[in-house]
Amino acid sequence: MKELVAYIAKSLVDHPEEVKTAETGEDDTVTVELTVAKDDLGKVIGKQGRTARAIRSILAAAAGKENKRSRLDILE
Amino acid sequence: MSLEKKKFYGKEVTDAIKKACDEFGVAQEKLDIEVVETGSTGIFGLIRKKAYIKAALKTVAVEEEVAKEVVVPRPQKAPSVQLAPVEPDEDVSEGAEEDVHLEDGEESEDNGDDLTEIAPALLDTEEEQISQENLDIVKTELSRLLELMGYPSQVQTESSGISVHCCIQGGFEEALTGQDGKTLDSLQYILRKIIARKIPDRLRLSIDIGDFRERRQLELAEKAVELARMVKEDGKTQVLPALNPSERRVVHMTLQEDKDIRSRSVGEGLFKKILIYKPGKGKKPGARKHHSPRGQKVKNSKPDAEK
Repeated sequence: MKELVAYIAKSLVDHPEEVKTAETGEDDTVTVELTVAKDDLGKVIGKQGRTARAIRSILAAAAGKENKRSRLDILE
Repeated sequence: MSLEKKKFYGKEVTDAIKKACDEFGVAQEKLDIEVVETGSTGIFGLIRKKAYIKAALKTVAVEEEVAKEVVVPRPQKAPSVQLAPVEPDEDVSEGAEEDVHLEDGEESEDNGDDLTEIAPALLDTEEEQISQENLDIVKTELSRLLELMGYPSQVQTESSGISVHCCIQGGFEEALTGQDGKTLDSLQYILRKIIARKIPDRLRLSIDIGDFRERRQLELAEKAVELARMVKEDGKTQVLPALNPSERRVVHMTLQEDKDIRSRSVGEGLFKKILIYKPGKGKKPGARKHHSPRGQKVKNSKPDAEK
């Protein structure tokens, strides 16, 4: 799950080496925490959060395979 | 920016920008535009203010334009938000996008969607081809994404002109489509972003799963016709739930021919609802605030409704 988010984030930012992801799960929820370089925050969030929304729905689809709910936290 | 800026006036920012484009003979993205006054149509035609912008050719764009001119002389391209060419210099393209966006907000009600609809037609006439190499990049990226999602699938790509169409097959159709195509649209959006960074050339990308797009279009068209029938029957305004631009387009196109009813989009942002209503009736009690006559409500400050 976190590999997916990391891959997408790395493909979108200017500093892929600073992309970090962590995954925690409890019961039926997967939480992926995404950290990117400060300059790149806007790139993973996008205009009016469009990119973040798209990443979330892709993550949701991936989590859906294991019948889990998902959460994406973009950390500052 | 070493070039001196010229001043342009117009009824609206859009007009002023258009004048600037004509003057320089280049597309809007190639101009460095500074909006000084947004202008306003005033109230009841009073207190009209002209829009006022300053514009100059972008320095990066100048070189590029010259280079392009040699290959295919094209004096002007239609400005478009979605199809803005990917420029090698990230900052420049970002700037262009903002300019266009700003203009969007200032547009009058009528020409909201026009620009984006005309643009693809113009672009189609350009004789550019996508190299096999780039096609492979698209295919690899999409396959990789699907694999990471846990839905490894076959991806087929086909191209014509500058558009690339990807088709996904392999047993996970439902999961990858999502509700109303939400996942599919997200995938398409992310893939476009990724590809825009990987391939400097401009290309139009679309993804389909099975025949989902076609099915969805038919479904929407049918629904639109059905709602139109209901509107004609009892005169009550019907609403289609929030749709994305391409889906709205399908609905509007379907209902365009029918002179007894009108359709229009309302709302803000990417997803807007579509109202289907009888023309000429003005405000109806059942229709609520959607199409109140001018001046009835406190002025709606966001003119993003479109036809």
